[in-house]
Amino acid sequence: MNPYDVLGVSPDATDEEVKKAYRKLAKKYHPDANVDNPNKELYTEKFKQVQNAYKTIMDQRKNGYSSYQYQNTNQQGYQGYGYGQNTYQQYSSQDQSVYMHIQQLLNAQRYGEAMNVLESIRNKNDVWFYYAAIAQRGLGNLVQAREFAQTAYSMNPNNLQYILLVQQLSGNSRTYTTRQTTYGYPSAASWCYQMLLCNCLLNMCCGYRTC
Amino acid sequence: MFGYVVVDQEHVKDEELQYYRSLYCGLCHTLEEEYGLLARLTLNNDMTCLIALLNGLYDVQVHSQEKRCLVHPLRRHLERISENTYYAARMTILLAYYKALDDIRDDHRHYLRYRLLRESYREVQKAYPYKVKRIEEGLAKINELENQNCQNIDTMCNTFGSVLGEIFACKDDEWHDELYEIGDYIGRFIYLLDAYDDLYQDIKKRSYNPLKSRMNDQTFDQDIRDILVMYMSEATRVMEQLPIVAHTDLLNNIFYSGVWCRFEAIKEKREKDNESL
Repeated sequence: MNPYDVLGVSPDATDEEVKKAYRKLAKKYHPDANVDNPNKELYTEKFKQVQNAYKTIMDQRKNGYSSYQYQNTNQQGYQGYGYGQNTYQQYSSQDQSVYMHIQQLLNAQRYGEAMNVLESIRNKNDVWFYYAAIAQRGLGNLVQAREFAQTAYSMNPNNLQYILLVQQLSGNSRTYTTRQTTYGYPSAASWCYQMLLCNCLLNMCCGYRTC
Repeated sequence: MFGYVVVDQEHVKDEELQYYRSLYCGLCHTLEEEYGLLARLTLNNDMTCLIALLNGLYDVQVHSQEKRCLVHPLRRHLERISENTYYAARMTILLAYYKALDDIRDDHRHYLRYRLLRESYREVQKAYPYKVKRIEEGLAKINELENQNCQNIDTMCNTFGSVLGEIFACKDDEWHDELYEIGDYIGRFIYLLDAYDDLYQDIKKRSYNPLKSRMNDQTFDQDIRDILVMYMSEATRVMEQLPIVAHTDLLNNIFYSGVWCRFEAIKEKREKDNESL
């Protein structure tokens, strides 16, 4: 079923319109709001559809595709990395099979296992850092992932895959800093700092400019 | 660990600021009502911001009333209270209790504060046994890692992130995972910023700090900033996906600007300390 149809909005609707449509329907069909309703089960089913539709739309709009599955997962899928296709020049034939195995593990989102295999490799070249970066990102180790990706890039700055990975890992940061320009940014001497100081010292001050 | 998630008052519209203040007053009042007069001292901006987030996400009844109080005896102030205020009050007590425990452990101070909070803590623990258990497991792990002098930023920040994730995910419902994720990344942000703030002090006192091994890197300050931005970008990525339509200006102010107030203050302090070195 088309998620936009479920919410009753057009595919061109703004995010705000989609959110408002969701809220209206969720309020109507939420299980908590229909405890005494004889059609409770139907409503609960409808609620799940509404929920699913909303998350699918938001996911699609953010990622350009929807990896969202109804079973809630706390991890972002890494289908976007496209690291499966390329080959690298500096392989020994032994390395190649190990890295293919690692690739398979990463594709299957078995990041911990991929890391284990990586740790058994002694020669930590740019290829190693590239795959390790992806594994670390999958494990939620953002700092390590970023460092490994940068190391791979610095070892081989002409490799497009490495450039893309570094960019992908910092993509959200770029979106964030762009959005920041809309909302203002504090200066150290700004009121918010002064008020923070007041808050910390007195702990009774409500952050009012004049108490 | 408090005072990181705040409003940037310079760049927020007045009506949003008034809304925020009413939530703050509401939390203060609720703390007193539920946990006694002294509980008001545990009041902080971070948990008030959580109320703003939860009020935005969930359709809740918000009760407004104008009240006088000890701090504002002359003029009545508007306060807003919802079920999320009660939740935030419980989390405030929890965090204050753990901080008191920490302070006793670190500096043998504030034993009285711990004693005063213990009763309230037990009430919260009874109300949320599983949440409290998971939080305490996370905090115990952090203590263990700190004792081992762990210098891995991911390990430390992610562990603290799991604690704040539990704090933010107030219900086991359709938004649990998103709230947990937001809390997780905010927690990572807070832990790192706190470590960054305490660095000089920890060196002087020879206390643990996860950044000691990298503080002499050439790009240290920029790296810390980049990581902090990375954490906030993940938190806001999830937040943007929530169906929040009201008071979005306030929330955007907090998460895009407000959280950097403390960072800027810390940065200025470090620059001054650097000059004096």
